[in-house]
Amino acid sequence: MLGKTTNPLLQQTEQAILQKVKPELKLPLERTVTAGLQVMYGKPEVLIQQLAKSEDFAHNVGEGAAKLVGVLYGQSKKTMPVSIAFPAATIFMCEGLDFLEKAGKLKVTPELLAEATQDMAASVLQLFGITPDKMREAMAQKGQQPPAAPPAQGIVGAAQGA
Amino acid sequence: MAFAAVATLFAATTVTVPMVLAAMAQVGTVMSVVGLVTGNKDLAKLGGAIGLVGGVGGLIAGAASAASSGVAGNLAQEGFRAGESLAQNAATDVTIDAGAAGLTAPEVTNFAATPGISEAQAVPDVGNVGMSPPPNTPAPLPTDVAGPTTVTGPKDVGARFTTNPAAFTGSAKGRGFFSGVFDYIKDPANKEMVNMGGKVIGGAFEGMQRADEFNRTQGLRENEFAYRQAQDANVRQQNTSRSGIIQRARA
Repeated sequence: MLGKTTNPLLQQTEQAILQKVKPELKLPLERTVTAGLQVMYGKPEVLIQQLAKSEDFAHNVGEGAAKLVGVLYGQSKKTMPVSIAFPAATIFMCEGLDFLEKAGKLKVTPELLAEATQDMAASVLQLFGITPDKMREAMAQKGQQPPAAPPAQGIVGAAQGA
Repeated sequence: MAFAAVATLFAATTVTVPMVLAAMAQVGTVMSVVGLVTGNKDLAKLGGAIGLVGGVGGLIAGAASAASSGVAGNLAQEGFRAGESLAQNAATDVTIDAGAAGLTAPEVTNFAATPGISEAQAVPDVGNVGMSPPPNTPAPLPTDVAGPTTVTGPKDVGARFTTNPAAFTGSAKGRGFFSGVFDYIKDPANKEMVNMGGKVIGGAFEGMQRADEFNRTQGLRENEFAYRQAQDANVRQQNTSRSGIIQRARA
């Protein structure tokens, strides 16, 4: 466990995410999460400002997690591996939800966690510069059929009347 | 592993299709994992669909070994179909909040990436996500990442990585943001691939359930074997003790 969450569902989520991280990225992820927790709890007023900016707590947490990852990346002078952005953001999201639950603002349910995950993912993608249009474009290009094979050339092809 | 290296998105001047697909694969992994842990079929399906678009490798890696046997068993029993629920719940609105908010952070300790980590300079197309990245030496990250610092409109959100992530306020709702994925899934032309993705996830769930059953059976067998060994050892000890049969016969 890298985070400080005590909610069983969030702990299980964090564990499952950590299992997906490559071994050589675990140390950078640990450092990133440690730095992020320092940011989160070092200035609680900033944390509270983000988490309480609207009544949509799931979105506040998801967006805040993405912001935190972006800030850490900038603060690391771009030495933070990009590939740990999503797992780090997920852990931060769990921390934010746990914080709000302990503050009595919400009750962490599977539905809330799912909603926050979607918002977090969307926010991180936008931070990367990936918009819905780019996603549609990528999917459209991916769905295109490969070009037909060129006709046979050479002696055989010529003999066949090419 | 699922979280394979992603191309240097922050350093790229343009976001290419392979980058988008690689990022979508990672998003799909995260959503699949959370969906499996929470038992949220819709989220797992969405993650599966996104991961399928991004790359089947990441999808499979994200679905396997991520949830408890109970969740996997329930999902396998209820029949897993990727397209149906998503098509029913698809949203089409994408709202982008053009406001700005400040979030400053104190200086944090710099940390360097672990030596030996390599990031693919160009993420290959489908099929390689989740595997080790190709042995390409990444170019040094530029220090002049440029781009809009504020959201300018729905179609121009964060074209490049913002130089002030603390002020980032991309507040598109998750479901709305992924509306394109829903459209992709609903498209009859992609039905076969979506169903295949659903079967992959369903198969992964079923495989996980069978694996759990096998492990439980194996565990019971091992316990029984250990019990019998202990019983045999006890009997041997009794027979060779002073009051045992052999000793009494020698007496």
